[in-house]
Amino acid sequence: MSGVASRVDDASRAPAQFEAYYRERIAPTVRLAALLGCEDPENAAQEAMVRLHARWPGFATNADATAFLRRIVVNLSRDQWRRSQLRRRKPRYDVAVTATVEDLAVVREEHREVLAGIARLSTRQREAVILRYWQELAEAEIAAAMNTSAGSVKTHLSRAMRSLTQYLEVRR
Amino acid sequence: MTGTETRIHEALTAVAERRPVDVERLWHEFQTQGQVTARPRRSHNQWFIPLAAAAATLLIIGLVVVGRAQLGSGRHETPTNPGTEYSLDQLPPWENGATATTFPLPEPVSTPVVFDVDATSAVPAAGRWRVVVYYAANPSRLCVIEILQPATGPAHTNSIGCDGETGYVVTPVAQGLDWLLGTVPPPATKAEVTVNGQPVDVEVVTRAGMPRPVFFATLPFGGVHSLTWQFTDDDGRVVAHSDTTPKTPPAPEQSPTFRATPVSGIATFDEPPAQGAPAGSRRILHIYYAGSEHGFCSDEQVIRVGERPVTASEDCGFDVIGDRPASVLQWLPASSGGSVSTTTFWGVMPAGATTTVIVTPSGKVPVQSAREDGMPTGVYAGSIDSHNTARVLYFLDSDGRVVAATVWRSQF
Repeated sequence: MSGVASRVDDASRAPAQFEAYYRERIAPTVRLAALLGCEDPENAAQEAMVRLHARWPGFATNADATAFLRRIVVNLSRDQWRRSQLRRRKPRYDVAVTATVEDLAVVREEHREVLAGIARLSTRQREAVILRYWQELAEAEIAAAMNTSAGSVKTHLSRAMRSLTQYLEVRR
Repeated sequence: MTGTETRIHEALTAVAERRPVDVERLWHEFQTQGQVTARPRRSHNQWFIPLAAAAATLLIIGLVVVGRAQLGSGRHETPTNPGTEYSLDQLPPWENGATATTFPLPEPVSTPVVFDVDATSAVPAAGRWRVVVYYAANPSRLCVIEILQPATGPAHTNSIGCDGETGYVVTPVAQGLDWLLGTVPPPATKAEVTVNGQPVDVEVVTRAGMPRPVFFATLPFGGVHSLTWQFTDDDGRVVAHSDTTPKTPPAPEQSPTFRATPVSGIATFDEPPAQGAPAGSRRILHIYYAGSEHGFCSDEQVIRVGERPVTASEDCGFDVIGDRPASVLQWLPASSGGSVSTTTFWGVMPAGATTTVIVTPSGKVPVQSAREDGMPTGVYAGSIDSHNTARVLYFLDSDGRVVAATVWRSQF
């Protein structure tokens, strides 16, 4: 525990900049962790921020810091995924149905189908899809976040889209 | 974007943006306590963080003490069950057709070794669970890949990572069966691991290209309450050791604490205990309302005999539209105690409903329901066999008429 506390103290070197950055990026980071299937997205995001904070003075731009943050979140989600595999568990996307089932359920059914399809993808394919189609990152940025090559990202996206398209067509 | 791409974007955005994030609270936690101390409810953190810190210490010891390669040194070999050695073109297939020599982690410079996890109770249908360990170079790093191979279908490959970042020694011991691995710091030649005070089998192996031997141990499923390891040389001298992981003190009776302040009474449901849990163990699901800001919340606790209750999962606020509770369906995998065979459904009943019925291909499933003081509508919970892949939920009023129904297909 003391290690964590000391790292937080070190952040006083650039407190104003880091606080502004934190406030801007924590929500997207929590949501990315949630989409990637972290059991506790807030905890994962906080852990990522602590790690980022320890290296904060070394980043020239916020964009560099954000790329690092994304990579940590992806790594943390994989770590949790490894544990969750013990239970054959897929990411849990909290799609509300509705109290008045008839109205919103139909609207959300389509989202549910898509999310179910995403949940069936392999870990890497799912990461690539989320980073591409939610974060709208370029392949090079996705590759950096996933610690892989742009070519691998292309492959993952291609296979994911083929799998998703087939899955959704079957359910039409 | 194509039509499918647009649908993906819209679905992910819809889910992401509906998740409330309290920036002020998170910033306050970050400033005052750091993420670990701020959120002690997660059981795996209570174990994982100190273990990870200890593992990092071991890594440092190893890097400092050893400065030289000891490739293939026979004196490190104390194999009790020394894994399986593979050349690169003999490795098991990776997921989805990737070639055996395509590593999702840095390329190896040592011969990989594959350990079989003794996972017969945790991997259904006689699947296999293997862990591949190898060294990558510059700087020398221990890399770990895990492969789960069901009896049918493709294997699932998880890239655990290389030392320092995500998994030098990974032991989510509070969550169930797992494994412990790492390097043996020279001049040690033996590794000893104890679980709950009892020694477990440890494999110690060295392969060509490995600067240090690797140790590996399977930990028992769902029953690790304390864990120690130490490394000794040929003369029995201790080279390095872990501190004893503190055993959770007995505190069987303890009022739960909740993530959000309840504004209603708290409905309490007993769930089936996990497979293999000691007699008297309980799993308890609390459901309550927390006001328009949070909606309704759940809190799942696992209580093992003689131990402090552990909060296995919490959820709040994902199913509120305006100030109106909107969910008729949620689900929780019955995972916290290690069971892989049941799934717990819970949720809020729509207005007018007093009873919930779940129908699966195996028949009707008992469902508990309650409506405590301050609850605008009732809540329900029921546990079903995970192999039931489709379920219909009916919500009935006091006259037995269907108020609403919905279909849920499993995502397992």
